[in-house]
Amino acid sequence: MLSSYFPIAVLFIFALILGGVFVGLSAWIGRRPYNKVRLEPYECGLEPADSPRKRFSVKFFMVAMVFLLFDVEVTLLFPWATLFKQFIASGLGVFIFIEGLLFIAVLVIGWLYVVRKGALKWE
Amino acid sequence: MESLLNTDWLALAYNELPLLLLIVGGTLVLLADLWWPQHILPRWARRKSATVDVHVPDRTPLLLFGMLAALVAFIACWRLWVQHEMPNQMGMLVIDRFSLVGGMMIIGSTIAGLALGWGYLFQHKLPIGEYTVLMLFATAGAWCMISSANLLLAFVGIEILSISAYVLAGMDTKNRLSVESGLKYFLLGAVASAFLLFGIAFFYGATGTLSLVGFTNDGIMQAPTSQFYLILGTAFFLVGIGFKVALAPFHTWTPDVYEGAPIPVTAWFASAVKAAAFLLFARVMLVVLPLMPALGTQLIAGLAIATMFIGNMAALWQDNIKRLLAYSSIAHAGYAALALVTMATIPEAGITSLLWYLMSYSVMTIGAFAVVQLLGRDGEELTSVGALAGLGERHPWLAACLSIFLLSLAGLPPTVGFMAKYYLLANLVAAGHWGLTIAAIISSLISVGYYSYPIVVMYFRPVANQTPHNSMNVGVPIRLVIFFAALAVLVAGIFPDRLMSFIQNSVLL
Repeated sequence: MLSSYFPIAVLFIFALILGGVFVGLSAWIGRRPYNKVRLEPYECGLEPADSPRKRFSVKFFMVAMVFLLFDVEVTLLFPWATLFKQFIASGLGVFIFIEGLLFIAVLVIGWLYVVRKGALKWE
Repeated sequence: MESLLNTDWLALAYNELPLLLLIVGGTLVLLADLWWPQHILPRWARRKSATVDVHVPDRTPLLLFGMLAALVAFIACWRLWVQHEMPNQMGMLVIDRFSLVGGMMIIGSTIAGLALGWGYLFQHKLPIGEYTVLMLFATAGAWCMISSANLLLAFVGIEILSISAYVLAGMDTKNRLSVESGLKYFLLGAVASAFLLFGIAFFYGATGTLSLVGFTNDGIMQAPTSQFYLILGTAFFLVGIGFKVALAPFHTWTPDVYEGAPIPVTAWFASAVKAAAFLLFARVMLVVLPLMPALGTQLIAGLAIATMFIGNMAALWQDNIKRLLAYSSIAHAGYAALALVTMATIPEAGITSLLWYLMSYSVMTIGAFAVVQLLGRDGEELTSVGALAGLGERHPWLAACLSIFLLSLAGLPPTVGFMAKYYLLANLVAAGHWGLTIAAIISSLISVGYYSYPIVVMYFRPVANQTPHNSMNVGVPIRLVIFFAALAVLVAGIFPDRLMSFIQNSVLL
């Protein structure tokens, strides 16, 4: 039972050694021209530490919210698709098809609302 | 899948007609709102007269359609009530007279809430379409709560209701208080929902089922751990539902939310949301209390006493009439919780008095909020009690109506509030809870102090400086709501027997 976890232990030990060796090597061989940019986790892109009260356009919130909603809702279609054949086999094909259509219809109404309210208008 | 094959879909659709009507009506309003004309005049006429373009088309027909859908749902509830002698369970939903009466109560509150929005929403430039849609969907959620035989469906119903309610509370985005109330309600409500879900999980751990029908003594009494899980589940459930109905340690959101939300929404919160949460509370306690009668009764009784006294004492210091009515709604949640206490010993009478109490409270609180809304001026809501000074002379009928509602809230005869309290206390005595009875009477006496304060101001305080009399908010629907509420308060207070036998016929356990 426990022995089946042995490969994971090996993986941990190996990762530890590898990481330790790389950090040690760079500390030993590497030069140290420390400056502000060098000390940051990412040398390009956004500043990692910043004021949390920074303002940015509400459009991003809208897109993120709409994305989350539809993303989660579409996920619910996966179990529907995988169980479709079983339902057909038990004679409930029409039922499950109409159920799926109803679900998609609800999504479409939501999408119409988003579009007509101009949540996706960028200008 | 076997059960799906054997389901009679037509019968299910027929029995769930109120729910379907609310959902379909809400969806139609949503779609109509999207394609509603943006301008009154056609394009060629608009170019000539640019000034007319400022006026946006009135979307009140959407509100009217929503009211119509709710009215048809109400009638469907009534028809089903007449037909259903016995409870009829279909999957996760159960259709019995208890849920149908609850449905009528909540749909009635929604019709009143929509009627109160007539004129107010247009004047305050609030989105009429969204208001109607959210109210109808929230009512559908409330229907799922009160007619569910399964805790999971009940939770889904609570979330549909609550999320709509958060948006409704924060609907007036130009008003800081409204936005604050929406945010507060959302953050605290989300935590309460988590507690509720946790409680449901423990119920599942204790009983092995989420179906309320399946809660039985057998499984729980045999294993000692499941009794422990049941107590844990009840505790978490009480925290969650206590937040939704505003029981004492979990009531702090109520004054802020009621103050900040637009008045029609506040009136609807105090009636429909509270009633829906209480009916679900009753449905769950109906199966949980027999499993742990002593402890469950003590827990609810403790919450009820704390709620009555905190609500009534805090209301004594309020100068804002919306906050005063908010604390009054907290106190009334305490009284209604007393009806749940009696359910452990006399379940039928307990539920009867709960339904009776919620129904009467809904009517009188909607009436009181409607009068307060009608007194608003120039797009400003009337908030301070002092502004009522001289109302007895200026608007004697309105002052009389507000007095009736306040006296009814205080529980004085000949109003429905007195009858509700009378049945409640009679049941408490019959169940042998003398201490609770005395506590309820004392807190009721305290409440007379703050309910009489606006009445005294209206009739006896001289008007300091006669402010120019601005135009009042006009509107026939709101006057109708006030008229019918006052009529119902008086008629049901003087002749309660018809309504009482109707409610008693609805509770067949």
